[in-house]
Amino acid sequence: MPERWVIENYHATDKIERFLDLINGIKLTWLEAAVLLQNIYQGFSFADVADNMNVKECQVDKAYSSLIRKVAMALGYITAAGKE
Amino acid sequence: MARPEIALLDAAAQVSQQAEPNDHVNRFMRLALWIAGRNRNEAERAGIEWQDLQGTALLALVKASKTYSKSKAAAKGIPFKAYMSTAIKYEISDLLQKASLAHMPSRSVYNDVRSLTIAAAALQSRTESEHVTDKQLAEELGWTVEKVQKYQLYSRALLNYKELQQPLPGLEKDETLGDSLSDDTVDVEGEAIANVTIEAEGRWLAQATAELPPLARTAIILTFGLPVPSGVPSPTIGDVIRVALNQSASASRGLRQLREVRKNDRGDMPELGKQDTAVRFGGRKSPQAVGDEAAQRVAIEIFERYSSEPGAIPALQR
Repeated sequence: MPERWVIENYHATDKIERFLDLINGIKLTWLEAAVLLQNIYQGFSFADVADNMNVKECQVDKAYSSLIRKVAMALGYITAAGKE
Repeated sequence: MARPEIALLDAAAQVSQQAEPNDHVNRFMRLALWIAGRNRNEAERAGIEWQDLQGTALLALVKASKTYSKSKAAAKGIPFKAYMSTAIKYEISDLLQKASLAHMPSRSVYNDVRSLTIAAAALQSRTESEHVTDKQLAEELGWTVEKVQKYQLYSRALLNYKELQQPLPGLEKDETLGDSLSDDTVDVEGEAIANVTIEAEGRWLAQATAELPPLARTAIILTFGLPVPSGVPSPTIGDVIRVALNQSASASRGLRQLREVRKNDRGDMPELGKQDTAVRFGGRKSPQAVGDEAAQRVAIEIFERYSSEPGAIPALQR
C-alpha cells in the first residue's frame, strides 16, 4: 500500500529531504560534478574519470578533495577556513 | 602554403622535367631530394633538420656534377645517376656520423667508443657466448672496468644514430636494427588536419548542446566529457543527483536531440535506426559504486546511523 508506506516512512523521507536541501544547492565545477557522477556514483577510477574528462589524474584528485570539502562545509563539519 | 621542404620538392620535380639532358644538377635534383627524404627519420633522430639534409644532398649533387667528368667512374662508363647517388649517400652517412660525434666530449672518446664496440663484437664472436662481461672487455682493451662502464654509456648514446645502419647479431644477415624497428613517421599535415577537425567538432558540439534542455545538457556533458560551452552555469549537486538517478533517460533524450540537430545542420549523421541509447558502462563499475545495490544499502545504513545520532550532522540540527 503506497499511501501506508509513505505514512510509515514519513520521518525517514523528511530527514532525507532536509539532508538533500542542505547539499542540493552546492555549486560545483564541471570536473567536481563529473567526479561525483562517475567516481562516487558509478565507481569509475580516477584514471577513468581523467580519461573521460580529458584532464590529468591529479586534477581529478584535487576536484575530489574540493568536492568533499564543499559538502563538509555545507553539513557543518568544517568552517570556511577548513578547521573542524 | 606548403612547408618549404615540400615546396622545394615540387619545384625540383618541375625543374627536373624541363632540364636539358646534359644539365646534371637540374635533371637529378628531384632524385637527390628523394635520397635525402629516405634518410629523414634517421636524421631527425640525430637532431638534423630535413632542410639541412636536403641542403647536404643538393651540395653533394653539385659537387658530383663538377667532379664526374674527371672521375674514374666516367672513364669506366658508369652513368652519372649511379655516381651521384653514391656520392650523396656517402655525404649523408658522413653527416649522420658527425652528428653522433657532436654528442661525444671529444674525438678521442669517440674513437675509444668505436674500439670498445669493435672489441665487444670480436670478443663475442671469439667466445661464442651471448654476453660479454665488463671485466672481459676491460682485460681485452687493457682498460679499467670503470672506464669500460663509462664508455658503454657513450656507446648507448651513439646507438640511436649509428648502430641503426649496422647489422645486429641475432638478426638476419642483411637486416639491421634500423630495419627491424618500425619507423615512427610523423605525419605533420595529417595531425594538423585532425586537430582542426576536432576543434571544429568541439565548437559544433558546444553550440548544439547549448540548445538542449538543461538536464539533458548536463547529462551529456558529464557523461561524455564534452568541452563546456562558455556562459553555461555550473551544475549543482542537485543537478548531478537528478542526472545520476535518471541518467539513461536524460542522456538518451539529449543524444536523440543532438542527432536531429546534427542531421539538420550538417546532414552527415547516419540514420542509426532503433537502438538502445541507454548510457551504460558495462563491466567497469566497481563494487564500491553508490549506484550498486549492496553499496546503496551500506549508504542507507550509514545515513540512518549518522542522522539518528544527535549532532552527528551539525547542519541538520539547526
